Amino acid sequence: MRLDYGHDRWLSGRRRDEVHLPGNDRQAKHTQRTGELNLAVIVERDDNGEFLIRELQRMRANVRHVWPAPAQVPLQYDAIFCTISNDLPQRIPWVPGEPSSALILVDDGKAPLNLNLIHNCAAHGLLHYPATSRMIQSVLMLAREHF
Amino acid sequence: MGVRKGYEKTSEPWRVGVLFSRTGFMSVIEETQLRGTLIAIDQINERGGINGRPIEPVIYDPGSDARSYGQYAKRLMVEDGVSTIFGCYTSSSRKAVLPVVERLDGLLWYPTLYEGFEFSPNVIYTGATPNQNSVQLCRVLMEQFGKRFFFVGSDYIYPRESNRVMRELVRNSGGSVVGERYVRLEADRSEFLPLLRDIKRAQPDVIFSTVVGESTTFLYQAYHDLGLNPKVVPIASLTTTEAEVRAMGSDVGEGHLTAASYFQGIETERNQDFVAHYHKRFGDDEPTNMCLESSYFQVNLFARTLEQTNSLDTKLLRNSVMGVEFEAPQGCVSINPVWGHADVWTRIGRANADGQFDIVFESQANVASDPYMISYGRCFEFAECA
Repeated sequence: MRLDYGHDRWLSGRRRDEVHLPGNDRQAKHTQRTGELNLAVIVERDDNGEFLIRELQRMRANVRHVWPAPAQVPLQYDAIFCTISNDLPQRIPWVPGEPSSALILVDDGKAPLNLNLIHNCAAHGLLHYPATSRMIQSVLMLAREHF
Repeated sequence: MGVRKGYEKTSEPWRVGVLFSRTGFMSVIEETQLRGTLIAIDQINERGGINGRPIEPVIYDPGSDARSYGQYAKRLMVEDGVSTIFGCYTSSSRKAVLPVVERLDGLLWYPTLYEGFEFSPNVIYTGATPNQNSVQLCRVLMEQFGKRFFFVGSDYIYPRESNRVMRELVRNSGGSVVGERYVRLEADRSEFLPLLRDIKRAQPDVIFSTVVGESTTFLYQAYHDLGLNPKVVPIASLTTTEAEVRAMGSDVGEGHLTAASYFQGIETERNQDFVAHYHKRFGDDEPTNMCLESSYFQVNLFARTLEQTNSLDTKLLRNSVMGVEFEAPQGCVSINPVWGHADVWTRIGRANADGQFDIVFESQANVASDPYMISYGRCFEFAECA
């Protein structure tokens, strides 16, 4: 078990409860909004995948785990976390520039970095493993904004 | 930017995408655009290619379905590794490709006249915009036939937007639009007879048509069947080329008007060579047309630019093509550096009994593209026409 998982969770919880910063209302709003999101998480359910799913659930999002990766990325979600694979561009059902969902690529670090593949996925965010709570929240917010 | 000639030692081909429909209701005209593109590529390859490397087209047939253009554009860019695409006739197909090339940073070369009011850093537009065809056509029609216009078009973005521009020109110049009707893109023959009867009842001086594809044939044939006289009430169009006249029959097309940057009948040596080459390859009864010609010259503009950049990088190509000139069959054309649209000629032709166009108006030189009509008032007093 990675230490920074728990550490990060603990930090964000404590700040919300105890410290009143100007940005806190906004952060609360984002947390509230994620509660209305339907998310698909297409990742292997290993330690990293488990952590990602739990963090999203902790943000009150409706999370649907899908694995193994389906032939076609599903359409009916507000945002989709999806593990990068060589054939991912072909499994994305929309054309680049006209997406149906915010797409966040998940790089598990197992394969060599392929920038061309990342370009071709025309995604809205990229999450590298090992992820932290802070990384997951940020990438989800940015992806939703860029979508 | 440095010229990088000689850097590349490879003889690998330059791969480019080509998206024109050889099937479906747009195939009459798009087939000719495909031919224009391939003729240019073949000629360039016969001369040794670009910096020693041939151009290799990767061709798909989107079957006249706008969504397929977007999907094939994605396939070209993602699976075939192509970044430069020649293609599209209808504005709806261009609009389907646009998000793909913008998101993946490709470059679409669009060889078709269109409604203007668009700019994309990922598109080079080589067809005419309204300031290069509609303005002069409207002026000629009002001077020679009268001020009562009836608009008929296919129901999609190009006709509706072209009619918006034409309506402003007509109204602000003292004319009126006595009717405006739209038909389905795949409209069949039966839909045009009642439409033409309505037009006849409205007694316009001119019918301005933005009907495209196979339906063009049905419109002109219905007009012919009703016994209307093109010398009195002609159909004026921006899209009816020699290809459509051939499809409808030259007796049906005779007397009607089209504004275009190119007609087969242009009497220059350059054009005669072009037409002779085309006839030799496809047969004497196959006419050339404006869309074919712009498909041809845009590949040559691309080749001239690629020779300098020695790279298919979109940004390099786009920056380098600005201001590049080419002696096209229509005359000298160039890419306007302000807009990334081509400066093309303005001509108005009247179809004759041979299925060709007699040119009744010709600009003195190519006309600067102005897709947003910024230099033009919406009436002729302020129009800066060549």
